[in-house]
Amino acid sequence: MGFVAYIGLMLALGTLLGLSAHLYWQGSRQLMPATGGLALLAAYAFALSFNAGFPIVTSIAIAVMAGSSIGLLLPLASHGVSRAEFMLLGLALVEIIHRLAYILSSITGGTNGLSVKDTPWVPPVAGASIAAVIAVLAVLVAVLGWRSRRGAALRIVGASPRWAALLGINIKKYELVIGAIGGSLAAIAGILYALTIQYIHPDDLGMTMGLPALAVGLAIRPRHILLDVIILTLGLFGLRELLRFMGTSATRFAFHDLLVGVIIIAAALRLSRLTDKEDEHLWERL
Amino acid sequence: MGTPIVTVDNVVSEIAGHPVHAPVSLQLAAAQLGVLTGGNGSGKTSLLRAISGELRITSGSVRICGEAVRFGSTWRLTRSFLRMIPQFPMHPPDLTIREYLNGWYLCRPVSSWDVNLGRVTEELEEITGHSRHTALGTLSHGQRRLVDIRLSLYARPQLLLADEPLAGLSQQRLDWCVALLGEFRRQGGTLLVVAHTAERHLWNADCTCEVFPI
Repeated sequence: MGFVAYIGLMLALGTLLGLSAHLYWQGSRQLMPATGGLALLAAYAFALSFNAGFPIVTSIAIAVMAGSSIGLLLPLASHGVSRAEFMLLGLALVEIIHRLAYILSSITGGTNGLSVKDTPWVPPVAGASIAAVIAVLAVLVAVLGWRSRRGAALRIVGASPRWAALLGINIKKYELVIGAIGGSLAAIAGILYALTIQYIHPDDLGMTMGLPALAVGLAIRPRHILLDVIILTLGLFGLRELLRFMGTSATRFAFHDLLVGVIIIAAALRLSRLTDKEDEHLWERL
Repeated sequence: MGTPIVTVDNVVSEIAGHPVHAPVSLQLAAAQLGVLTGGNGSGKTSLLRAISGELRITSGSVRICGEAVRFGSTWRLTRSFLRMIPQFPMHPPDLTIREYLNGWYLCRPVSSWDVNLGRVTEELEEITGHSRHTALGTLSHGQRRLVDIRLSLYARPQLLLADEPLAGLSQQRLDWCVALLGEFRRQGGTLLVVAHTAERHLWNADCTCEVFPI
């Protein structure tokens, strides 16, 4: 695959995962580092079912279901836990999926990863184009979504659950919607990766994608979502792939990781300023 | 007394498993006004939150429009016949007035489906003196309180719970709110407010209930 097509694919994956993390952040004020893990899970689910002879549409459906169901279960299983505990659960989930991927690779005879059977009508470059189109569509849907009434309700739920309940918003329903859509976005990213690269290495997804995606998700401002997604994915995902093509150097990757860390810390500090302390305190005491 | 809109029967509300106040009983019919009074920390706010389903109840029971109130049922009650104005406005600070109204409009109860969102937006702009694109976080406590009161009444609830609704308002706005709440009652709405003992003269209550701490 050419350099431009590869960068395009990575930007598309970054956009999808970043939007997924952003959804968890805005809708439930949770730090979701597991989007990369969900993408890895979906990529493996797609590859295993497609290699087993299932039609491509069925394989995609299985992969999306795998990603969205785990994306849905994580917030449900961790209901009532603090933001830090949720982050730790997310990190643990990524590590579990990562380990399972390695075990599956050895079972299926792959060296470290898993090869995907050829899909003649989706050559790698066409796969990158599909990924880019899907990413653009996802951004457009997100822009329209935040401006809609349901988008406003979702942001109210994220900002103040107690206030949302006083407005008549069913918080549990919105939590389910966030989990399902967030997990599906991550799953689509994983499927696109599997279709395009046709060889899934567990180290390429998982935390490698999850932390930059979290940084993108935290730094996106809902009212400037289009501009922010472009700048942040170019800055974080584009920069990393550029560094990779320029030759791996520990110093260069350290610079990238430092940037990701700074964005996450800055977003966390911004949150503490925005959150109504008293409301949060009262809510957590219930 | 007609059919009770709200019935509070020997209720003790709790926070984190600890009972907050002595048992309280009261009953209000349509168009009646009830006032909960008591000193600081007596548990007035907790009782109001328990009535709306926001806090657990150690003992006793609450019924609103014949329906038993359970912990966590606030959003469902709000969708049908209840509105609550909390003591401190908790609007998401980074949402604009317009965005906030969009969320409110989506979840408005059936009784207010004919409300015109454009007209509500214009009225809130007039009340707050700010455009619809202003972030709620930049409004003063009093302005946010006015937003709460106006939106609560637009929802046309059968029961309005208000925790010190007149606190932080200028005399002009205070008169406006008293008139608005009076009109709400004239139209058959039931009002239960929390007020400090010193504020009791502002309310011509049908039922006054003093809350004592445990």
